[in-house]
Amino acid sequence: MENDLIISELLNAWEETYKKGQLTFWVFLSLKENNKCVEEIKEFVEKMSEGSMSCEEQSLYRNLRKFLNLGIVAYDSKRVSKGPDRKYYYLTDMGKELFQHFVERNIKIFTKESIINLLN
Amino acid sequence: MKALTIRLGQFAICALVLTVLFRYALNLCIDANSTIGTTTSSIVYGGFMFLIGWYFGKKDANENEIHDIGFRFHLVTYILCIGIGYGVYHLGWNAESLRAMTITAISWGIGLTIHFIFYLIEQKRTIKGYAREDIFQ
Repeated sequence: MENDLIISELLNAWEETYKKGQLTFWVFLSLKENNKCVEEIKEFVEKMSEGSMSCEEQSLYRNLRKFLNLGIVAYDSKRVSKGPDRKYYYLTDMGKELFQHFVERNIKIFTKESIINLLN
Repeated sequence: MKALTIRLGQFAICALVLTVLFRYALNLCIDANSTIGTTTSSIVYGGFMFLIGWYFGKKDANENEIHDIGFRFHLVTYILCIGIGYGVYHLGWNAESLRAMTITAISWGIGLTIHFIFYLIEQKRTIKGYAREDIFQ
C-alpha cells in the first residue's frame, strides 16, 4: 500500500518532467497531418495522446507565436461566418526539416525491435 | 525577433504622458521655489515609471518571451526621458540647465551602453531573441 503511494507520487513527478518538452512534439505531429487551427491542434493532441497530454489554448497560442517568429510554422487566414478570420497553422519547410531530424534522432529509436521487446 | 511589441508601445505611450506631466510639474515647482513640490513630483514620477515598467515588462515577457534582459524598455525610457527633457527645454520650460541635462544624458548613456553590452552577451544564449532553454518548453 505504501509502495503504491510512493510509486504513484514518483510517477507523477517523472511525468511532469517528461511532459515538459513534449507539447512541441505533439503540436508538430498534428501539423504534419494537415493545416490546423488552435482548437483542432488541441483536439488532436488530447485525442492522439489518449488524454496523457493536455494543453491550454493560451499556451498553444504562445508557443505558436514563438514558432511563427522563429520561422518554424506559418499560417493561412480563412474566413469564418462569425467572428474574426481563423488562422490555420502549418509547418514551414524549415519546420518539417527540424521535425524530421528530431524524430530520426529521438523517436525512431523506440521503433527498434530490441527496444520494443524490452518495452513489452 | 520582433522587437517592437504592443506592450512596449503601450509602455512608451504611458511613459511619454508621465514624463511630459512630470516635466511640467517640475517646471512649476522650480519656478515657485518649492522643494517639497520638486521632491514629491520626482518621487511620484519615479514610482509610476517603475510601476508601468514592471506591469508592461511582465506582460511583454509573458506574451512574447523575448530574452533581452530589459534592454528594449531601458532604451525606450532613455530616448523618451532625454528627448522630452531637451524638447521641453526648447519650449521654454527651463527647469534644468542644458549642462545638467547633458551630464544626465551622458552618464545615463554610459549605463545604457553597459546594459547593451550585457544584452549582446546574452544574445549568444538565444536563437532569434528567444532563450534556447525556453523555446520548446
